[in-house]
Amino acid sequence: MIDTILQIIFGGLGNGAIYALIAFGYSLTYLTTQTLNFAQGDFVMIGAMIGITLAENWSNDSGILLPTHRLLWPLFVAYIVAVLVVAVLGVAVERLIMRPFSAGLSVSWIMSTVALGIILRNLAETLWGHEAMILSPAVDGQVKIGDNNIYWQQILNITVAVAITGLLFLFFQRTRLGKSVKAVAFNAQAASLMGINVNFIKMLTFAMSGGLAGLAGLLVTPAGGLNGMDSGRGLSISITAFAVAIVGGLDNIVGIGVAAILFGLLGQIISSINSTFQDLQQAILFVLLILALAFKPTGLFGRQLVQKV
Amino acid sequence: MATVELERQEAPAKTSLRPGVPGWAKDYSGLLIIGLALFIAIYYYGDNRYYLTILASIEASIITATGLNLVAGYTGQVSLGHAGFFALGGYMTGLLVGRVATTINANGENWIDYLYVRGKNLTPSDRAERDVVLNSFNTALLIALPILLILTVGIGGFLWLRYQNAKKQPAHLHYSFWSNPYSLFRLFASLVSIGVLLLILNIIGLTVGFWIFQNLWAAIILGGTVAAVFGYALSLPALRVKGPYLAMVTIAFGIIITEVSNSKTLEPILGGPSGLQRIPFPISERNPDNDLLLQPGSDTGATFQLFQTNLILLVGVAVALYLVRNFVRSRWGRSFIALRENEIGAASVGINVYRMKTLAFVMSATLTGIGGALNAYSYGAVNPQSALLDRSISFVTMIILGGIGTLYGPALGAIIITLLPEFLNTLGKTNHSELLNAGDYIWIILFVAAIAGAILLPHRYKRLSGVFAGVIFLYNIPEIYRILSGLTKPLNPNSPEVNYGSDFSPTIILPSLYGAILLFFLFLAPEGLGGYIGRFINWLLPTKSKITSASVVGTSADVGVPVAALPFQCIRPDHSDILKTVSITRDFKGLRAVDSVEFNLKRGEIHALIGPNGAGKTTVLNLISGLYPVSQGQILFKGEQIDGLKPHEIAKLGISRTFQNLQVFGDMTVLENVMVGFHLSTRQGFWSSLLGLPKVKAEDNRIRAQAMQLLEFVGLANRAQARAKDLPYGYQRLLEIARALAVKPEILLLDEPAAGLNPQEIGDMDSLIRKIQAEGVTVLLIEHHMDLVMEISDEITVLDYGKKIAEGNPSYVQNNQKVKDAYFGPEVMLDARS
Repeated sequence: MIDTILQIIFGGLGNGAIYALIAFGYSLTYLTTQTLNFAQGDFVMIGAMIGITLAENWSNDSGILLPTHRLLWPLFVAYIVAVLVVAVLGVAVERLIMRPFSAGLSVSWIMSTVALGIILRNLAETLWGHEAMILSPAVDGQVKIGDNNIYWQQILNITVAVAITGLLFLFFQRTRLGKSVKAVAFNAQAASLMGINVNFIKMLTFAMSGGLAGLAGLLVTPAGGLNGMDSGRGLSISITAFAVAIVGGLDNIVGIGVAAILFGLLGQIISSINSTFQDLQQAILFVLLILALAFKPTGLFGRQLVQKV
Repeated sequence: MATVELERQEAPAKTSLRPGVPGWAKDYSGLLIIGLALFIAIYYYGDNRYYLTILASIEASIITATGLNLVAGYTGQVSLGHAGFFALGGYMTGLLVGRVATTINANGENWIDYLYVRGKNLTPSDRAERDVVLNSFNTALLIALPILLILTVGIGGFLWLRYQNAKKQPAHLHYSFWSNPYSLFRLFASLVSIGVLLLILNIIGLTVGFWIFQNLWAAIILGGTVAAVFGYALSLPALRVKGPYLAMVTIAFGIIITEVSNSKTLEPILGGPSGLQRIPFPISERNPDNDLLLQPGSDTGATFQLFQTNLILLVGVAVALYLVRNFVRSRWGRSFIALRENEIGAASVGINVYRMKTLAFVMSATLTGIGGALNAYSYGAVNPQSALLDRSISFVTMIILGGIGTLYGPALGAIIITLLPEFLNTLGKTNHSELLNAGDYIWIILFVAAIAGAILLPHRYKRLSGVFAGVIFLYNIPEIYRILSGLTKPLNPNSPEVNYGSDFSPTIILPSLYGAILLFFLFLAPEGLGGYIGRFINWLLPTKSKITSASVVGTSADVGVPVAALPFQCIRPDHSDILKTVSITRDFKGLRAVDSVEFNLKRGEIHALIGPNGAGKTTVLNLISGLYPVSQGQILFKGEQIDGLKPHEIAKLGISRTFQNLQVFGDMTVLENVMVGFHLSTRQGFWSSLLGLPKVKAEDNRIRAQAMQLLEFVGLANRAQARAKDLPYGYQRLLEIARALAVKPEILLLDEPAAGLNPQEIGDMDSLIRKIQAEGVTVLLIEHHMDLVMEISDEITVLDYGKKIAEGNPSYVQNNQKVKDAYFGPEVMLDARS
């Protein structure tokens, strides 16, 4: 019993960590631009794929792509390059999609980013094939807690998520730049009158959002053994992360953290019941999400909106 | 100032040399062209099974896209989960027609046999197992049903009583979702109706026999109904939220449907990943076992059935387009567009925004469900793939390509998008020994030139050059992907020889093509093909305007009112109290914007509300018109408490308003804006609007004439056909007044009607407000122009920092010391400065 609970807790927190990283990305851009990138999931995937391409020398002797664990580049260099590339992609989204469409109907930017997402997904399928690709864990091996083997990578993921939350908190509270982001979120026009470069701040949040997505992709690929990454997996993770961001409240970093843990744990609990529930895990989570939104339209921890006339 | 003058003197009507064509004739000829084209195609390919299947798929897509357009185009709510409804419709057909009917046909077994053994012949051990399942199922049902029944009746009755009680006292409605008897009752009712629906399906399946399931209409009605019920249930949360939240809810819905239909547990019923297959055609019986779909020429009988099915689908397309056309051209369609353009404005004329959105969503889900049901028929199969996000995106691509919010654009989009895979198939596999061939270089040069043109050319050619670059890019996407896959070939150690893109099949790039088309149209051609074609046709054959001054005069003569009067009668002013606020207070997070304000409005008078910036004037108006709930206090209208009512309910009582920040329906014409204002006094029912009955048209003509009369009343008649957002600022204010008057208000709330007007226009506004008063409408006015206020007001209330500081007639207020202090600062400070 205690083992199951431990397994649920570690598995749940591990998944929650990834959800939180992606959901922070949604939140950051929503704060400054009231838009968010529906291709975020594909950014997650692209980040992982770039990391894999740089770091691994793979072969498919057995018909399945398996890394030979021979690092082409040092892992951390691959990580940095991958994160930077995705951050640049994020800036491109802000510059090319969000800025031209910010005044128009929401259908324009939603569908543009959705379109970008499909193209990236399809491109990845063409370039890297259908099979899941594997990335060596940053920290190899497992640790035995009770009767459970917990991967070090999972513990690393949780640690990174906690650290990022803390860094974001410090960024908003202590740095000049973070305060500028908050100012833009509160009132972009007033912020620009105070000498803040609003466009730069918006681009910065999109870069941060992209970077977080890339990092999440690099962390989730080796997590929990040999999950790997394929062109569609980023999307499916990010939809749950999107649900996390919505339930937590898009404007509330702490709320998102809580919701991420909640979703991670709930997902593990549901799939640990039996195979039926495991099959329907995402469906059940989403039914709960829809019910939650029916009662709290701006998420569990989101602010109520007041119409301005 | 000068430009406004010029515009004012412009000739009232432009006469065109080209003959006008009435709008309805264009609508119906569009319908006719689409129908005829499909009809000819069906006959032309009548003996080709493969093409018939594609045509059937086109027809199902047209119905679906038209349905999605109702929600995404007309009410402006993007749904990324419509494939879920599509799949629901398909599965209903599959369950009813495929699963149930075929089994009974083939083996004479009842449907639970089929569910359990999945179409295999039963062995004795199978039968034993089946009996165990059946018995446990029956026992569970025997226990569960009475309990469920009691619970349903009990809870439902309780909620219903609460709802009935609440209806008696409509005055205080500060409910959250949880405590609101109405929303709780609705939630409960929709849950119960889903349950009852499923139960009824089961009972029918067990008792009635297979003939009903062979019935096409049963499948269509059930597919549509189930989708509608789910749509209704989904609209509860989906329409309370906006933008990204709405997208999330709809995406989640699609995923739920995919996971449930994919799940192992439900595989006996829904068929798991392979879905439900061997759905027979609706026309006549065929043996499902030797029916090999998509093998050309394999079965002439089945081809003929598919041909017949196509004709049925075509009738479905025609009916769907006809009904939707009638609907969007009625008051309902106008309200849809109005709430897309401006929800606050729509609510202010009495449109129940939430209910209208729900209606649009349910209608859209129904059409999509029917499209899915018909699609399953023509394919003879349905699987979880049809609920995927990519499918939803392809539906949205159809309407964006065709023209979002246009009548027939989505149909056009559906045709093109459904044919895309066929286009890719014709490209076939390529066999290149080089990475780039000669043709590629030419395309690259053209593309670079077009991009350079888009950057360097003078402004008016930029867009054209961009479009050109986009078209080149779109056309070459298959080639680009071949080259990309060729580039990565050498990386793959298992590829023996370097043959660039030899195994590249263009069909796998279909999603990218959708994405590129979406981007192309969103960036470079946002009106979509339908929008541009419609504009071209309007240029070629202008729409004949329905309003002539003769029709206006004629109608107003009928009702016996002179022109330039309101087209309705008001109660005579008797200076009794009509509106009374009892110490109303409104707090915004610790800021008390309005603090215990009390004033009385007397019928027939002009009452001004003045005060320095931030005094809380607009907030008072928002409290009266129901945009904000009051924190404390009461608002009484003719003695009845109205605080807590929603804006549309306030409008219904006879209080309408204009806005300081204009809330016109920008993309509608001036005339349509005012016609939307008549929403409450029009009585066209849902079904008669759908069918386009003559009485609907008659009423439309009547309110069109009345709207025209109102435009003459405010002096905008010569701008009736202009788009509202193209009007100058001052005219938009007049338009808002006309729209508010269309509500036939007893009280008109004017929020800074003279803001931004020049002195002459202020003079016009002065006489307009007097004219409104003379017609018997009570006016509550917020205004900063003191000349105007002092001249026309009967009574003035002065606010400062949310508190009432003075009240009385203009001369009293002008001489009041507190008012002077509020506006100019205390006397002391003035002294100190001088």
